[in-house]
Amino acid sequence: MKNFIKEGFKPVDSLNDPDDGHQWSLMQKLLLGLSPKEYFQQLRRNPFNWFLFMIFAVGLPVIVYRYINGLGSVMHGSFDYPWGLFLGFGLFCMVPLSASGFLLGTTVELFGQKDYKPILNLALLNGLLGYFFAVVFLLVDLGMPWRLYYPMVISWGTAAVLFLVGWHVATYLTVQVLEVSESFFEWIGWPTAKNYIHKGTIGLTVAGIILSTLHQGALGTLLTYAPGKVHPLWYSAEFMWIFFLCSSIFAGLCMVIAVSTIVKKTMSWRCSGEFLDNLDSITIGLAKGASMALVTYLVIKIVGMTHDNLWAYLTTGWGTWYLLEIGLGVVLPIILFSFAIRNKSVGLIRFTAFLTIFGLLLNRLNTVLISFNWNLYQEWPPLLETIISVTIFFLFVTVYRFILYRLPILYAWQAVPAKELVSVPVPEQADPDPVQPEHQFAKVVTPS
Amino acid sequence: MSGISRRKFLKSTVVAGGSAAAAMSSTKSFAMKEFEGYPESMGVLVDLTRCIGCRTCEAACNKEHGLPEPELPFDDFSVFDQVFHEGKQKRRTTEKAYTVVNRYDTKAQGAPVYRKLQCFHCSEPACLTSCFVNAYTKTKEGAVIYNADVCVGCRMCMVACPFSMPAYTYDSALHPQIIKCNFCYDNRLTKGKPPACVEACPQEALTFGHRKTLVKTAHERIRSNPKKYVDHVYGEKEVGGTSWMYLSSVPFDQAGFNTTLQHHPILDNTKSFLGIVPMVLGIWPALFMGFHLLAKGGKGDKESKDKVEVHGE
Amino acid sequence: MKIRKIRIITGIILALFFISAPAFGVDDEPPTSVRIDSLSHLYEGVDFDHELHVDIEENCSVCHHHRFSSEVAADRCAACHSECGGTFSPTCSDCHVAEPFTGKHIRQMEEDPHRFHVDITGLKGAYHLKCLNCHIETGAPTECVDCHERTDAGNRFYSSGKYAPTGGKSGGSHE
Repeated sequence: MKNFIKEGFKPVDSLNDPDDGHQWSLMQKLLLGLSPKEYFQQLRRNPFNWFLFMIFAVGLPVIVYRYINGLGSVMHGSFDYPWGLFLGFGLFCMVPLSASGFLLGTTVELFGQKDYKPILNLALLNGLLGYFFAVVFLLVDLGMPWRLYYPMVISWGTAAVLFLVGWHVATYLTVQVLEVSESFFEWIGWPTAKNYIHKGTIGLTVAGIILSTLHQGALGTLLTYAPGKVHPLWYSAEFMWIFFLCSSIFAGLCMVIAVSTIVKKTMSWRCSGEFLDNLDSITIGLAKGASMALVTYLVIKIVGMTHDNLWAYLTTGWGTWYLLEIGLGVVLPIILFSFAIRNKSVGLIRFTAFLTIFGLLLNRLNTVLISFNWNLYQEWPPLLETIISVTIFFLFVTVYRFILYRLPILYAWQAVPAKELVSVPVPEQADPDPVQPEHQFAKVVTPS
Repeated sequence: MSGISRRKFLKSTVVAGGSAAAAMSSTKSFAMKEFEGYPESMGVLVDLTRCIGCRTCEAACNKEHGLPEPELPFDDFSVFDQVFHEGKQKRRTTEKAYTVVNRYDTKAQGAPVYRKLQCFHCSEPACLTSCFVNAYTKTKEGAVIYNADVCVGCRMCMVACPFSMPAYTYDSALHPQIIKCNFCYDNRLTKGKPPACVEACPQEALTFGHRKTLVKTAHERIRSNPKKYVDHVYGEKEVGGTSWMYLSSVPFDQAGFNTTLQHHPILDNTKSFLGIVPMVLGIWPALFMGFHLLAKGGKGDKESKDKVEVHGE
Repeated sequence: MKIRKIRIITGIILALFFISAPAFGVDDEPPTSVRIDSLSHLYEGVDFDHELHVDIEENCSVCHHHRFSSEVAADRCAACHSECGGTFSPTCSDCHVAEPFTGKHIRQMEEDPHRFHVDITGLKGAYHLKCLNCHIETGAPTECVDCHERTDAGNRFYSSGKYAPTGGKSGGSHE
């Protein structure tokens, strides 16, 4: 893709071709304005695509295999470890990493911090896809995934925390689809629908805060059903929901930093000038928020430890492991963040964001899988289960990239007035005029 | 009574948001009372001092429920030597066995102790209260039964069960389900008959009766034979009480019991979270709308003011 | 009034009891052999060599709560039953019922508030607890089939003998 950009190619970023004013067809939009031949040329050229191809070539058949032969064919089929990577990683890690949507939504839409506007769409999309793929993981893990709607329609287990999680994730997913649909309607060319959705932004954002507060906390509360199975160091009946909610805040923010870093490195051609120019200052701002949440998290962790008097456990092997998690995933990031923020070292912030995400993954896996049944026996997910998890994760990456390439997430949709709506799409653009890259640096159209 | 209402109360906290105030007030009135279980609940008192490890209960259960043929005959006692996961686990309930007996060679006693394992049929079952499709029912007879027709297969109940009793047919692609002891509810309990294992036990190590009565019986056995028994009825208080209770001559942890279980229902652990649900649902919208109006009002209509710092997150 | 009536009735019943008592106590000699088979289903009945056991243990109260025409020996029982004059039957099945856990029996036991004996084992339990505990203590045979042969129904029940799954060894012992 970069090569095309070098040659002066400009991907679709408005309803109409700026050259002749005709409307892009859907196919042209999907191919970014390239001809099919050119599109596949760039597809082949990118080694990452080959990497993805290899993962899917192995992983997708394994997923099919799982549906034909049952869960037992890919998981341990353990009665003591009913949950494996699908939920331990797919649900418990993806959901906090997707808290970005409601965090940035709140900051921009509710608190009016317009400085974060350029990254808002990315945060919203990150939220949507994270939740969507958490549900995909769920579809793999459930014994009978075709009954996913049962708690909504057939039978209500209303006393259960999982019931709350299910409903809230479903509702929040809808909210996020609506939030992201603004970008989609822009891209597809239905401004009326876009404006209609936009009117409800505040309502959607508030709904997002409520639902997120509740189900991020509820995920933690799920573990309070298993006292004694989760190691005391990772367990607290009173604080579990606060731990999970609070850690989702820095996880969500660090995920935005991480994704924007990758985006900046790999697809800067798709980013608007506004996005690229503001990214560093935004990153510093996000890091401030994240370090605030990290400090809060560390404090309540210590309060929780004191409350349950768990200090004696620290001297055990589990204690060492626990300290490693807190040290690498919480304390070190706090130190690095504060150092980096003071010195405005964006690179260090970015590194720390990845470190924090690693810490969060470690925390969730420790709680749900590694320290689970700590006094029974340890079990590590088998190969096929790991393959499926990796496959779905890269499916997530692929879809993420697919959307970033197309929808106006990283760039602003150009409001080129349609001079004349040409209904017949131009068959082939033989030689697109080289357009100056400066052309992209248009002012963001901020609907008030 | 109070238990039913309390469970209903918790339901209302999760579902309702609008009726926050009402739900909050009902917290107070029900929090005072502890759920004592259904008054007519049946139970089984397992007296480990009587069990001889003959595995007749296992056989009876297998035949009663038409379970798959065992890998080894029920009179093959080499199964007591089976250990799994580097010796960390003895036999457990599986999708082919609702109940198993294990042998524990305790140091205190010359003779080994045998323990029968099956669903404990809790008074306030964690499987039931954690299930988001209500697949479990605690019947008035005390049985905790499972309905495969609504089960989605999330296996939350397996995570929640403090005794790790439920098994799952992982190998079924189309209709996997939870497998666990159902107290012989359909075929026997509702017909005035004891569970098959109780009826089959030659030693009457299993005593069937009203749970209330069994608690008295258990304490009476301890009282009249204090040297024989450890002074504890396992299951009387554990996780809020279970329908199956145990007496033992050796400390319970030596007979493979988890002696660290809390003495109140597992459901209580979710209370501190469920308490905030009405608050968040009720207060958040107003609170954040207020913030929004403040932020908007302070800045005026134009969003041109540039501020670099961030508030909070 | 009412109390007097009850006393009279009780008196009559007691009188009847004492009159009929000799009829139970005539046969004072213990039996040489007892066939215990009222519950046999999975196992054959037991031909219990009473004489042999009398030779081993002369004290009847080790096995029986009491016997014909003798005072109740155990202190615990004597507290109430010292004056019964040995009129109760020593046969296990007279007090230990075959089906102790039917809904009907449980209700019967619980509905009588004056009942002292609430934790009475059923007949099968009574037999096995009494015999087996002693066998274990004294080193007498303790495997099931040492006392009674397994029936065909029993083999089917235990998935044993000709019903054994391939590869398994049946009729194992606890040793």
